[in-house]
Amino acid sequence: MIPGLRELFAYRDVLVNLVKRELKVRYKNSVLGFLWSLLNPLLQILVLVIAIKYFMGQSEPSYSIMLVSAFLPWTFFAMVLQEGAGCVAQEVALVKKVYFPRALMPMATLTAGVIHFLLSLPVLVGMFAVVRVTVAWNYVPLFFVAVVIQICFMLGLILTLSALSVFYNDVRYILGSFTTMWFFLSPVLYDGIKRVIEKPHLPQIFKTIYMLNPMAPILMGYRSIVPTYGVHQVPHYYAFLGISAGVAVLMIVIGGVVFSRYQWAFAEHG
Amino acid sequence: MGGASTATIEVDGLWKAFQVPHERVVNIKQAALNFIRGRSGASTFWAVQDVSFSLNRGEALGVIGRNGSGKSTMLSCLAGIYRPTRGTVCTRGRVVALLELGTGFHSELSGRDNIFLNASLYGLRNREIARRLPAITDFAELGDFIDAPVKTYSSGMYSRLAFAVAVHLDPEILLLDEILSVGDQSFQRKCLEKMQEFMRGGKTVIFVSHSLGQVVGICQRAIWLDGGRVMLEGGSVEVAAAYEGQMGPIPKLTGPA
Repeated sequence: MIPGLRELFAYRDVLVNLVKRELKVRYKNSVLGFLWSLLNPLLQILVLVIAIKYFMGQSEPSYSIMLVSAFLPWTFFAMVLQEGAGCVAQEVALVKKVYFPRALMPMATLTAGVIHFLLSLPVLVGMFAVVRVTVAWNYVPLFFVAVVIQICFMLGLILTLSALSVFYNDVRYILGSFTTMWFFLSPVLYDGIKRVIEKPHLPQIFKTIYMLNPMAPILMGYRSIVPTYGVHQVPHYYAFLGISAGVAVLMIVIGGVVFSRYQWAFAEHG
Repeated sequence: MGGASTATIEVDGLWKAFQVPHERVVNIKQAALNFIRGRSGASTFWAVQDVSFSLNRGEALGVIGRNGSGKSTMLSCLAGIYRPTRGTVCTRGRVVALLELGTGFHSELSGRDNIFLNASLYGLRNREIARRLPAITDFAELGDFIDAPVKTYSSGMYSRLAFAVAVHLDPEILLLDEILSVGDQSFQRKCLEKMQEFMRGGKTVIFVSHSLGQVVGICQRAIWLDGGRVMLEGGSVEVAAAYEGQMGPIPKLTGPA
C-alpha cells in the first residue's frame, strides 16, 4: 500500500492533466461553457421548487434555500458516482497501452467533480441573497466538515465501483436506480429533522437506521447553515456524523484493497 | 552474455497465461451450472512460455515472429502493463514502452494539452515537459496549429505530433512495438534516424517488428518467438535469416499467418 501511494505521488502530474482534460472537454463546443455548471442546477431547482412548494404545498420556512443547500451536494455525489463508476472501463484502451497508477483515473473524476461542485456554490450564496435569509454562520465550519467527509466517502465508493465495473457492467446499470432510491431515503427533497427525526409515530429504530445512512448526517450538516434547520435538534447528531466519517474511512480502505487487487486485471480482462 | 549484475533489462523465465472463456457466461443459471460441475468455463492459454534474456546498456534487441507468437504480450510484461504469471522482469532505469503513438490523445484538446497529457502518462513531470515543449513543437512542425484542437489535424500532423512527443520522452530503456511501420517513407526514415541517434546515446532498446530489414538495421541481437517460446536467439542477421528461411520467401503483401 505504501509503495503504491509513493507511486501515485510520483505520477501526480497525470492527475493534474486528466482533471484539466475533463474540465476542458466537458464544455467544449458550448457557447455558455462552464456557466452550465451553474445553470443546470438552477433549472433543476426551479422545477423542484415549483413542483414541491407550489403544487404539493410544502410549507417549510424558506423551502427553496433548504432544498438548494442539500441538492447541490447531492447532485455532486450522484454525478461523480455515475461517472466514477465508468471511468476505468471507458479507458481500457489507454490502460492496455501504457502503465501509470490506475487509481489516478477515479481520483481525476472525483477532483473534477469537486471543482464543479465548488463552482456551483455561488448558486447557494446567491440564493441566500435573493431569498433574504441570513446564513447561520456558526454552522459554516460544519458545512465544510461535511464536504470533506463526503469527498472521502465518494473516493472509497468510486475506487470500488470503477474497479468492479471493468468486469461487471451490471454495476453501472444498477447504480442509477440505486442512487435514485438513496436520494429519496436521504434528506434532500424534504426536511429530515421535521419529517423523520421529530415525527412522533415513527419507531426509534427506524430513526436510528435513517441516521445510519452516511449521507443523512452529511446532508443535515450542509443544511444547518439555513436558520431553523440546525443539527442541534437532532439527538446524538455528532455521533452519527462520526459514524459517517468512520464509514467513509472504511470505504477508502475497502476501495483501496479492491482496486489494488483488481488493477492488474484491467488491461488483461477489459 | 554480459555480466548479469550490469544488465539494464533482465528477463528470467517469463511465462504469461491468459484465461480464454470457452463459452460466454451469459446468465446466472449457466454460471451456477458451471460452478456446480466444477468447470470454470475457461481454459488457460500460455502466450509467453519460458522466455529469458538480458540486455546491457546501449544494446538493442530485435524481437521477430509471426502474429500471435507472443511478442506484444512479452513487451507488455516488460512495460508493467501485464503482470508475469511466472518468472521475473527486472529493469534498471526509466522505461518508456511505446505500444502506440499518441496514447491518451483527446481529439477535443489542443496539441499543447495533448503533449502534456501524453508525456505525463509516460512518467514525465509537467515542469520537465514544459522545458521540452519548444523542442517538441519544433520537431512536430505544426506552427500555429499547436493550440488548435487535434481533431482539426490531418493524419500526417497527428502522427508528427505523436512522434515528436515520443522521441522527446528520453527514457533510459525504450520498448517499441511496431510503430515504425506507420507513416510514409520519409516519416519512417526520420524515425529510424532518431532511433539510431538514441542508441548512440547509450540507451537500451527492445524493438518488436515484422520488418526484418529494420530489425537488422537497428539491432545487433535478436530473438525469434514462436508459439510464445524462443526459437532462436543470437545476432540479428542470423536470426533474421533463419526466420526468413523457415517462413519461406516472404511475399511483399504478407497476410495473417
